[in-house]
Amino acid sequence: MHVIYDLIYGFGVALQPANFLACFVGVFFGTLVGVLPGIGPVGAMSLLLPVTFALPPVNGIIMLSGIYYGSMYGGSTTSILVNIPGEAASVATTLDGYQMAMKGRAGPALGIAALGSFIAGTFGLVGLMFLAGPLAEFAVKFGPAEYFALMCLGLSLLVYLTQGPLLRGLIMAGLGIFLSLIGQDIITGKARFTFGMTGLLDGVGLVPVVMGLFGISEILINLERIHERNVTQAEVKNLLPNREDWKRSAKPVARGTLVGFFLGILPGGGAVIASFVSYALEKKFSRFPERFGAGMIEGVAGPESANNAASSGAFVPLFSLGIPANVVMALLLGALLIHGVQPGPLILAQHPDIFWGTIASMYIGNLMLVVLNLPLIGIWIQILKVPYRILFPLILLFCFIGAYSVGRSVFDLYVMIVFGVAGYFLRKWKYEPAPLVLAFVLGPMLEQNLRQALLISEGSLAAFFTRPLSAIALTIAILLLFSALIPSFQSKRKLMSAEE
Amino acid sequence: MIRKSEGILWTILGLFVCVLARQVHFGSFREPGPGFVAFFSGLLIGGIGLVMFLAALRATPSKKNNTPGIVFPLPQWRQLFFTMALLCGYALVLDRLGYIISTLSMMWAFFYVFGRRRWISSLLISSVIVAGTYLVFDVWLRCQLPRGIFP
Repeated sequence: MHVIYDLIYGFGVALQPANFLACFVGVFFGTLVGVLPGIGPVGAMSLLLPVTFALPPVNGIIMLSGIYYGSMYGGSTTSILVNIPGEAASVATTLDGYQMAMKGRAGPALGIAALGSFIAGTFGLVGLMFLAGPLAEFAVKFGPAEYFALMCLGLSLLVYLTQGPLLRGLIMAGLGIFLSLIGQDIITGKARFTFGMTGLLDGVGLVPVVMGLFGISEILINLERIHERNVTQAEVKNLLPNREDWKRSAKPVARGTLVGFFLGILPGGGAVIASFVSYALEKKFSRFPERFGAGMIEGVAGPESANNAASSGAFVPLFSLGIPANVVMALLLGALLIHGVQPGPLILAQHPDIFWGTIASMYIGNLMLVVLNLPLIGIWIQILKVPYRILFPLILLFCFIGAYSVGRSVFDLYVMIVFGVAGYFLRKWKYEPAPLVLAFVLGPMLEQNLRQALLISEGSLAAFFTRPLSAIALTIAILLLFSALIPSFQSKRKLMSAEE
Repeated sequence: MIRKSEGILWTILGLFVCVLARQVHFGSFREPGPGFVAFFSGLLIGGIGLVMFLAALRATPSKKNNTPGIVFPLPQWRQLFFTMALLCGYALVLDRLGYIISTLSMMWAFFYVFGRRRWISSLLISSVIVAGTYLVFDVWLRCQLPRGIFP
């Protein structure tokens, strides 16, 4: 029952004018970046991260969360109208969404995407509300060994699900851990790996790294193939799905919500995998699987619901354990830490305003998105018609402003450029930057927990395998990585990452 | 397909990280030092690099796999170099010239080169963008963009 009281308290926080405005700005900006191909939720959150420094923590976190789930909404618009996903989680929507648009049914496709997302997002929040609290209470008993093991599991899962050879994913994770250790040692305060550069004493900044790897490198890749987008010329009308559409979409929305929420919780999982699993499920449950890819509304309703539910689910490990499930959550973790808030089991007791305020703001934000998205579709279409040659210098400029504003240091701009070039070549050589970023964020926590666990156990590695949770998590992590050597698992993994 | 060069590159990098980690004090399992985790991350990078090298060595080259990894046509190189040079130049002059002048120059160059090569319209669009971003980020959001030559 006290969950209800806590939620009412959360609504009290979220409905304060400043927080309400932050939520609106977040979802609006999120939808915009979701609509625009080339700048995903990670880039958008990095851009607004410095802006949130001047705001109270609850304000900033509400805004950043809004960008995340807002971009999940916005991504569907480009998928349906242009056949270009605004962000990775909307790739599955292109398969049937664009075909619906070609048949003159863009309206119902956009409508079911928005309404399905709203329903899934709302139910996902109910799950988050009831799961995060108990999990956080349970996590209070965790020691450094458990935390270390859970972080290893999260990293292994992400590496396992990353595109391309597993070895490349592991290299990225190792590199991310090393880069995160640059700067002062957390225990002794000794400077390490700085090569005499004062700019590196505080470590490599998260925002320049993310902006470089995801923003600059993406633009460099896109520069190779600048082409004007072919936005559907047909008038978008009848946004509200009819009774038949609802009848066909009800079960996909329900299944997408469940699948999305639980895959979102999984470390290393997230919206991208959730949307593809949901699409595959719908195809399997359908009486006409051969019609998928030719404009089935189930192929839009399921994945769109799944990616929104996953974005709610991803908050569970972040809020209750302090472990980010994906790169976006890693960035949110970074934002919380910058604001002096340590996410994890104690967040409920120490910062109930942030926890409950963010959850309540997500209910409000989901409602805002439906109200915003349906009438504003005309504006989004006009924005989509802006040529890329105009857009990309603007995105570059935003990356520069974002990277500079964090520490008001030109050194961060150089870091961003270096990571931009590195990211470009890494992508060319089929190295995914996601494991690097997650490892980069988890690195300091991983180091701290490993060193603490070893100090406590007086150097015995058995400590990691005698505590049940730590033993289970580490065993799964090891099995996962070794399973990639088994041919049957190899083909399964290839199939999953190809879908991704 | 994994290339031998990749394996060699990562092996060398991994070894380099291990050496650096040893220099900053590795410690022991009983009392891990600042280089402890870094050493193992280097070991991971180097070890996998070695596995990659050996795997590439063992792989029998087929016709399919003989295609070069990345092919850059000349115009592509030009665009990339131009963009990177502009970005580096921007980072170099930002503090000295300030946000307004350096951003205006960079934006104009981008719009002129990648746009329709009309310098007046490029200048107009750049001016609007600089004014707009300055208003939003410096005046409203107080991001304190560099003033440069302006007091």
